[in-house]
Amino acid sequence: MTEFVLLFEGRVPPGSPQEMQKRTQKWIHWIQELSQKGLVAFPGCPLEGVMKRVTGSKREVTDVLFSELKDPVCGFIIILANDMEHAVEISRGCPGLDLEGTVEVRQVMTIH
Amino acid sequence: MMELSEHLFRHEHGRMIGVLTHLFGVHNLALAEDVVQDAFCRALEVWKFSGVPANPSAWLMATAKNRALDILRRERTARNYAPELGHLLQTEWTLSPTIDELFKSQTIADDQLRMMFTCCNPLLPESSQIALTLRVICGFSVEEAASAFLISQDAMEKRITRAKKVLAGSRTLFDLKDSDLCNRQSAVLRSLYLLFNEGYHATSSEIVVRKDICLEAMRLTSLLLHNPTTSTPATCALYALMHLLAARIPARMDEDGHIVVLKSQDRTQWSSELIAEGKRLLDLSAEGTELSEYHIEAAIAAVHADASSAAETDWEMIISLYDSLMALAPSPVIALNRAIAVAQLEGPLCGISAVEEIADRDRLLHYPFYHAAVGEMQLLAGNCAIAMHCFDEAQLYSRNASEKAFFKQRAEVCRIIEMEKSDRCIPACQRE
Repeated sequence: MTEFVLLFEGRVPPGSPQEMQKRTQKWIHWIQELSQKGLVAFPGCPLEGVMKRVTGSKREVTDVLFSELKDPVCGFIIILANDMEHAVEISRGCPGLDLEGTVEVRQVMTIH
Repeated sequence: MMELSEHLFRHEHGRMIGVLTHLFGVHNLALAEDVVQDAFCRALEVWKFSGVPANPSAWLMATAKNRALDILRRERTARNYAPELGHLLQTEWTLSPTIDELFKSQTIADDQLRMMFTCCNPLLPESSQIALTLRVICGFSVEEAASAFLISQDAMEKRITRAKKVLAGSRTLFDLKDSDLCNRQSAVLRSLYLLFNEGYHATSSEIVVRKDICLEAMRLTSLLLHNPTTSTPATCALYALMHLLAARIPARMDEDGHIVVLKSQDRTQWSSELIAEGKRLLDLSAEGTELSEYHIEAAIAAVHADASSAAETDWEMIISLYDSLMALAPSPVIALNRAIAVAQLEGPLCGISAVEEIADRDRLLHYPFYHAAVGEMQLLAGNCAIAMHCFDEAQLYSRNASEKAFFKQRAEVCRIIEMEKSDRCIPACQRE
């Protein structure tokens, strides 16, 4: 099994309490299911919306307004998959996709 | 823990909105709604990875509290918050203790009630009061509220926007110690009664969301019972009535989603738990001297609950209860229900004359069940052609597909009986 990082991108659109609860429950179920199948290498975590960017040789520091980002990364998880195809198949189940979010799938380089 | 209790967010929404509008002032409702939305977003982002915390309600409330503190620190002078708290929010010395006090569980519960009372502003039409309650306290989206009321989203949006403008004029939450409490409480009870009815007249396609409304109306009524100021005999009677009516929900529709009227319902499907609880509450509501229309309506529902069939119902008792109700709060709909009971006890012809005696009968002309009730009486009296016409009228005024289908089917029954009758009238020699 190889490790893959799944980056969850896209913000959560507003919804009624009932809708938000449904979305939350779906996510919990999805990650729980991955975990039960032994596919989670690192349980993952959410990311705060406060952002700074440090760029270039001048070490220029800029504030990034979360609200101005098109598809901000909101969290990540590291999973175990046989290969890229398998990792993509797993990602297809991500509940964030139903809200027009994106999952970026990146293989963690294996160093021999 | 991996499962959220059903409707957790909906229930927490009302609690958070109550305390936040107390803090920010009612005129800043939109800000309070943003904070609540933010707390839900945060719950989604965090719980997806860490699972549901041991006490999700406390988690949400603490998140809302921190967010409110952030806003107050950052925008201390940018806005006018609740006038009675204004000066306490100005310095760090008083800010934290004030907020700690507000976020104590008893205050949270009281604030939710006060927000309910604020929504039932007499300046608003009743239809707006209940739309606002559903939106602000229960957190229904405009779409969810529109489908619950069977009106267009546009119409609901307008209704809520207008109502929110009136609400914003309040600035502070309604004070439960106010001398207006009595008037306002009857408006709140009336709103909850209408909210329940809105859900109770469920139809097949919307059954899920509409049953939710009944449950919400019952939950909000129970909140009133938990506060000594608002726990009056009338509140208790209303809660009893809701239980006794809710008991019939499983029998009100057949497998195909068609309406089943009271007299044809399979009473074994009625919930005996809800009936028992309803009767217990009704007994409880009899303490004191207050007799509200909810007492009488609950008593009527209890008589129905006691009867094993329509035929074995104590119609005499029901008529006398309707008489009391007419004396207390006369309305043509109540008079119609009384006439239906008269028809059951004394036969369809007496029922028809009771209908004809209804004052303001013209106000019933747009009410489909008026035409249907007269139709049933005429059918029993053997006047099939008139009955058929009545059911056609009922179809014309039906408010949803389920009602329409039901009246159509009744009209069809009349047509078949009428045909059989005319068949019998034709002399045998001419039948070939």
